[in-house]
Amino acid sequence: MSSFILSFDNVTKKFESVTALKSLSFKVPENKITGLIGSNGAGKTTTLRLIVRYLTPDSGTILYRNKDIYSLPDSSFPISYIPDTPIYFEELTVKEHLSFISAMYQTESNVQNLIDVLKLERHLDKVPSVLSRGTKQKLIIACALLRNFDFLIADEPFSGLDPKQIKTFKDLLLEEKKKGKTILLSTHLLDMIENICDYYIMIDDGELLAQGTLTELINNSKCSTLEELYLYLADC
Amino acid sequence: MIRFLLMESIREWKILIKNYLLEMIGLIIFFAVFLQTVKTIIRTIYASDVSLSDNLLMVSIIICIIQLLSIISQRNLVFEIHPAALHYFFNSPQLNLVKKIAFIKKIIGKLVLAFLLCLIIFNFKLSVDLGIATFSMFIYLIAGSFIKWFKYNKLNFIMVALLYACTSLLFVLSLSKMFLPANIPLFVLSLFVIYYNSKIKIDWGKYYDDLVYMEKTNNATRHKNMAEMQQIAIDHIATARHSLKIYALPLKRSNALLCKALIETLRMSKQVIAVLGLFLVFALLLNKTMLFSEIPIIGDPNIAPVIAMLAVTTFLVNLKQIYSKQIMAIVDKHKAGFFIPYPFTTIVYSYSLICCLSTVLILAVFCAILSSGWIKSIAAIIISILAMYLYFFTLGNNRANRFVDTVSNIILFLSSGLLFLG
Repeated sequence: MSSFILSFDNVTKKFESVTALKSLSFKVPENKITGLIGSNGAGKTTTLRLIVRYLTPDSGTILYRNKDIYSLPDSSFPISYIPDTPIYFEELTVKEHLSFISAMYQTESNVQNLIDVLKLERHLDKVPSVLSRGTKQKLIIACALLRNFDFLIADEPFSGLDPKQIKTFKDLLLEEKKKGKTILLSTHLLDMIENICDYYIMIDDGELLAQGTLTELINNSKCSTLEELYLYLADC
Repeated sequence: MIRFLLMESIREWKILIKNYLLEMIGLIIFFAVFLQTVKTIIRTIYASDVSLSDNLLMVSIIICIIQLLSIISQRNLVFEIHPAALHYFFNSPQLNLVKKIAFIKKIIGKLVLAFLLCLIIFNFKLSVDLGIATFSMFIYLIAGSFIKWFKYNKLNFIMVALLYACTSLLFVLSLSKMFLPANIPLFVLSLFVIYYNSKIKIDWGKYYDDLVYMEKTNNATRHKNMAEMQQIAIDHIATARHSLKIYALPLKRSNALLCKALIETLRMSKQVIAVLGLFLVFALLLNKTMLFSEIPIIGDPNIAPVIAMLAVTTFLVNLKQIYSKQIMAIVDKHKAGFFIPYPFTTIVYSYSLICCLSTVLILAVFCAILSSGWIKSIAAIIISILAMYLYFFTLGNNRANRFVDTVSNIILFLSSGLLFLG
């Protein structure tokens, strides 16, 4: 197993009377696609928001390449984030969004490729409000990929995408992995990620259930699929 | 980067103007008339023995109270940036630029507000006093914005209270000219508050969620999408946290509906309460002050009591409608299959009791301020309650209810006449 790019060490996060994460510890391997699996309310979004520093943990540490994530400078923050709900400027067209983000990160050369791969040509002069849910999601994915990153995290990225679009997005992720990037996908749709992820982190009710490759996880249990395994661990 | 943010802003304004052109023209005309009225009111005040600039102590205290209410209410986000800007610029140096733009917008807004307020206070005459007062007011308002921001980010309550108390005291001392050099420590304290802002831990997650909600609402408003605006409001109310839960009350079968009615009253939208309250405040001001004496029709001493009666009647009629909707909501749910094991009369009794208690409470306070005499006040309250009860008990019969609605409204109008006439 390769080195680990990110580690959560006994991270606890509370929201008033609710403890979203309870001494959560896990590691994300570098240059792999990792699936963060959990049911609704398991703490996946809270975990991702901690990584992108929207939130700060009440206790515990989060290390990125063995450095405190909160000490990383803004000028070279290496993480890009695809949120669960598309966020955009309502009055800028798709093309303007891409021009805007690529200008910020000087990644103009990547724009055309993303337009081609995500099939955004027909929508370039449209504003987000007239786009379908799937096309909005593609726009957000494109914007996230235009950012300079070593580590991409995506919260329920398949939401709203049709099967063809899901395939395209998966191919994009595999392409990014080949370029040496690390990817963390958060989802509760186990069948979506079973053929793409190299590593899994399973959480439930803010606690770690298991982490490892599919082979490691299944060998340590009597289950034969990821779904069986998750349900078994969650019930335990 | 600024170009795209500017483009977004300009287009938002274009859509707003396109969808609200007529309303904006109406608003401009209304504002012009309103400004003229304000000027007339101010001139009236200055023509009488009361002069705002001679009552700066009272003015400064009123401004402090408004600032306190603003800090407590937390209705708006202090610094508003587009949530997409926060998302795309977060963890990048560009976020600082966006924060600076929001800060500059706030400064300009507060400066303009401070100047306009001081113009009114000093009867639209430019002077050195006005300049100094504007400076004090501006620093105080900016400090207040940051204190509100600290409270939003859950800074220690004692620190927030202390900052508010110190800035308010210095502001009162400087504006009222009780101790003019208080401007200097006020300025220094405000600089400290602004500096301290860089030290606080911003709750970015909460801020982002609130910005998303704000932008959804603004976007729906801009595009005049009433259905979406309503849905956003419903979703927001549904997720609002309430400190009092129904199960905290002594729930029994015999009082379950009463408890529900009470909870619904306590959870009533603050905007609705504020609008209803405005009618009573207007009636009070019309009757107890000379604020509107110069305005045609409203200022006529023969007509003003009738207008006050209309304002109070509007309040009572709206209150009646709110509770009747609640009653019918329960009745409709029962018809739709949601089993409510109470007869119609029990449902009406429970809700009308809470309505009447609310009416008694509010009217009692109103009558006390109005000093309308206790016999007239009690009579007006009893007649209003009876009119409401009459209406509620005919809710099950549409034809009778329409007739009774008109009759009860007339009775409410006549009962409010007891407070203003004779």
